[in-house]
Amino acid sequence: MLKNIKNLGSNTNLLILFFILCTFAVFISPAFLDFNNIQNIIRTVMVLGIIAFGLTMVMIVGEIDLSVGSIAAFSCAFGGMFVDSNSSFLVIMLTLFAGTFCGFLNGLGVTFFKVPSLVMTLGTMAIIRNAGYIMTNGQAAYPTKLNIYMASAKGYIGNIPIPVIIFILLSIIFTIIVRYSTVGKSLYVVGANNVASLLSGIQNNSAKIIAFTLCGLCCSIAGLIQSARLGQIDPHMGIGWELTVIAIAVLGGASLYGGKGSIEGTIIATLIIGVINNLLNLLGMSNHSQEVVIAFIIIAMVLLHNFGKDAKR
Amino acid sequence: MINTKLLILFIAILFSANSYAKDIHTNINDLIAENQKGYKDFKNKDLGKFFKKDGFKDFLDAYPVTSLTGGFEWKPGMGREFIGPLSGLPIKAPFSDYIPLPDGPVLDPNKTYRIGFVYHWGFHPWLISLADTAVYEASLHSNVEIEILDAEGDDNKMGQMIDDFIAKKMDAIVMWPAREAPMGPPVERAEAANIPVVSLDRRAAAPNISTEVLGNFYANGLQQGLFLNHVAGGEGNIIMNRKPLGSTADAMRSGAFLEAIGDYNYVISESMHTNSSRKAAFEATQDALQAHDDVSVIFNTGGEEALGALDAVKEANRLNTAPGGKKIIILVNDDSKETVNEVRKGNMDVVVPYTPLLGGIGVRAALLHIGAKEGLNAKPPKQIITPNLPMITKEKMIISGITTITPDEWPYAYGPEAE
Amino acid sequence: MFKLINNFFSNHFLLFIFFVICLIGTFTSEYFFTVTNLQNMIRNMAVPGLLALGVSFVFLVSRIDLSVGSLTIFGPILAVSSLAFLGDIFDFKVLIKGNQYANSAMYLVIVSLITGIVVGVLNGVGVMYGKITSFIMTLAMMKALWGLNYVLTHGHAYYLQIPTFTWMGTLNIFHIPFMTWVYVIMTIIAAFIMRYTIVGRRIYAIGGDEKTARLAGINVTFWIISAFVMSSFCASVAGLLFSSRLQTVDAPLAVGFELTAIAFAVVGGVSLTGGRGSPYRAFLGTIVMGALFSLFSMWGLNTWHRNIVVGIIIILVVMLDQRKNRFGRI
Repeated sequence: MLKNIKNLGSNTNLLILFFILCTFAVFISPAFLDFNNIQNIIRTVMVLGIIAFGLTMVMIVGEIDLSVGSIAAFSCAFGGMFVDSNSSFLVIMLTLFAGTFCGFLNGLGVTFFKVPSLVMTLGTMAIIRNAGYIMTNGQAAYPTKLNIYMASAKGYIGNIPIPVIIFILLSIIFTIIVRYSTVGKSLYVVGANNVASLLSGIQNNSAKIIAFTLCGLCCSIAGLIQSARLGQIDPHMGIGWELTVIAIAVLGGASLYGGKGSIEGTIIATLIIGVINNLLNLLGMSNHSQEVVIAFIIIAMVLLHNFGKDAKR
Repeated sequence: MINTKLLILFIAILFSANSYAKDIHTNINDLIAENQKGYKDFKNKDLGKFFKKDGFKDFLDAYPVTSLTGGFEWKPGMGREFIGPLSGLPIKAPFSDYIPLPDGPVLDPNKTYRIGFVYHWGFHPWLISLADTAVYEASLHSNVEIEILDAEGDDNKMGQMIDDFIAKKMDAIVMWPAREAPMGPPVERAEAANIPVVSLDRRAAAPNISTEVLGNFYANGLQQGLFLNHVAGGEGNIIMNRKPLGSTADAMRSGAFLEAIGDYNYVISESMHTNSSRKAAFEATQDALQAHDDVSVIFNTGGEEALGALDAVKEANRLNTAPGGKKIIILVNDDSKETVNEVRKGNMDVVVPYTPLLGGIGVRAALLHIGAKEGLNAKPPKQIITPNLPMITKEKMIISGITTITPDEWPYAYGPEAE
Repeated sequence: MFKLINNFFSNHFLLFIFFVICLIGTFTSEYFFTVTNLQNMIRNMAVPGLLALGVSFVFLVSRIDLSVGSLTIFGPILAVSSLAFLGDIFDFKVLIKGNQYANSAMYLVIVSLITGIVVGVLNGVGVMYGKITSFIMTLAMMKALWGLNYVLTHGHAYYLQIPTFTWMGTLNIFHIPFMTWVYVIMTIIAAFIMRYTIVGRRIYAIGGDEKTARLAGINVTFWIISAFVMSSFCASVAGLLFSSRLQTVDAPLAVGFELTAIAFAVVGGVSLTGGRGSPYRAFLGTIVMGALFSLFSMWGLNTWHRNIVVGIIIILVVMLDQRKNRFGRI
């Protein structure tokens, strides 16, 4: 109970930061508040955001996953091999299944084979991605004829883009899972106190496997939406995503030592990163200068986060 | 009177026959020469400053603009058809007859010749097609073996792979360098070890390299510029999707483009480096469209970038939002089947081919170098220019004396089918 | 007797694997056991090996350092661009033909090393005083340096073809590449420091149990910052050797080197949670992976297959290592 309150505290800080950023953004670039622009922000950042949900769970349970980009690429490539079947349903199901399976493999390695997650996922990062290359001969697939598949990124329900709806739905679902379900609570227990929970070893292992498996599922969903958006299933997608997603999760309050973090925090952190990226693009800043600025902003935010938390005490 | 009309008709036919008599390659070379200028010569001073800032002139000056080896003349329709050994896709390679080598065992039929082929990014449609043509050429000769390595964008790794080829005593090396500078020392080491090196498309900073097979970067940028002048009447707001800063591929095309448009009233609204990535171009174009509501031209130095940009335009519903309700003009190079199809559909306005189907030329040049070492034939030239290719437009046009090609007349597009 | 052999193999399992790989190479490829290839193999180990050595110091105190990749080339890039800037102001020649460096090699070396130390201090300060997780701090540093590499070079490469600098990449002493000498000597010095001096004792103490070490009066802050400095210093040295070998600095280079460094250290048995490992372990990981890469090259193994095998091996080696569950300084 106490832990939940502490989390909310830091999330409030994040929210305040977010609103300050947005106000700043509106002053700097008038194009910011445009409805199209906001849509774009969400569409762009939701891909990393969805993965961040999965990664947050993995980090809460005290582990890490570097293979997220590779899982996204592989799962979509796997589904992409069946594009000629003309069945969106088949392709989507296979994609999600492949991602879930990869996540499950990661979980197995970490729990039953006792390989530290940094090493396990460093290895699977290479294995999974290159397996995808070999499977597809390195070639992209084109899902443009699969209407439902494409709709996941391009469709609208009324005025609202479907990807935004998907993002909101997933946010709600994962928040409920993590905060209110037994599974979610066990993630925190296992993450916070690894030694004590060793006594109930089954819970320890199953919590971690669930976290990794769900993370894999998130990766495949994210990859799917990205592929639909570009009209191309690229086995090369996702390179470099892992570090950015981890940064988002940590910004949202997750700790690499486990036991901390929340989906709400991750959502806000995702939006913050999305806004920053968008703002810098609207200002016409080059990619490279942007990296420098983002690095400073991350540091500044974490510092504020830390000293804000201390001040509250 | 009838006689005069016939006479005029006769003279007209004579003249038009002449304009076809000057072949495409020479025609474009002449246009390149006409448009070459320093930044001070730009009538549009802002464009001139931009030209100076990114240092294009150094690349443009260093690039050979000459005639084809052996007096070869290329016409649309030439070249062999086959299935790409790596990609499994049907390919028609335009330059199979350029610097030809007969099928079957080459040089000394009792020896096996081993060629090391190293490139990057074997998942990129352009690059896998490059490798396809190289492997195909090797497969035509039963005593030639080829080893394909992908350095995945790591220049250091490519250097190490070349060192490994030296240790394995390969007979020749064919390479696609992503960047010039870091590839200098390894190529020099290979040449010092008496292994001929042939570079494809991009260049390596190695003065002793045996042969460079050069694509028509200059013709790309130039034709995009000439097309734009033709359809836009000298005015427009341009956003640019460029390849990595400092690469030949970027500097040559962007520089040549600017040379062509430098005297007119264009404004460069954004210059973005989206590095051959569809995703990066998509996001960058989206933001550029957001920041500027009067975009009328999108200039792209590559097919993937262009497709990403087009997707961004479509998603934002901005295809016809150039000033005056006109269509945004989309200029592209890289004749993948996808981009050519977009021209057919009317979404992209011009595609200037930059064909990856050069691998075969590289392997043939490498084999000829080995042969020269063994005293069996003369050395191929140090720089092999590939034929300039005319631009592809939806309807046939004549732009600055270049007759454009329509999508259905172009059999050389590479990559997977688009619908 | 049996226990002795068992112990020997446990402790030097990786060394054994290294020789097995070399043996396989010799028998399966006529080019493996040649001077050229062996030189390539040990020369290729130098740069990632130095990075792994540096990163292992940080691992020993339960932290991580992701900035080593970008830092590798940042040093020389900063050196060249700063001198070019000064050259414009004070009117002396630095670059000819726009991007060929034609000035002092000493300057390159000194600035790179100092830059490394400064970045290490910054990393350490951020982690200890700013209380920023080392992952985030060094990730931000990596991004910042990556961006700066491009900004400082305007995306152009600089050629470093001065003989006073390039000799480092090409010189062989007793047929062994200079780069390898530097790597091995630095490893020996590091191993000595860790085993026989107070530096080692402090770092192991902190890695073993940080709270207890602090309570025992150890200046944890100082030693952790020192670990970061050692890591960055190794990265700077690696960077000098790297750019000397390539005779270039170019912003897109050295991407992903940090993950390779981490993989090498981890394969050698350096634990990520602190307290276990040593420079010798980082060395073992490096030579095993280096030999493996050389073997694959000689086999002409396709890049994708190569990467998969490397991934599997990383997981397998660590899995097997976990079973032995060793503690202590080796």
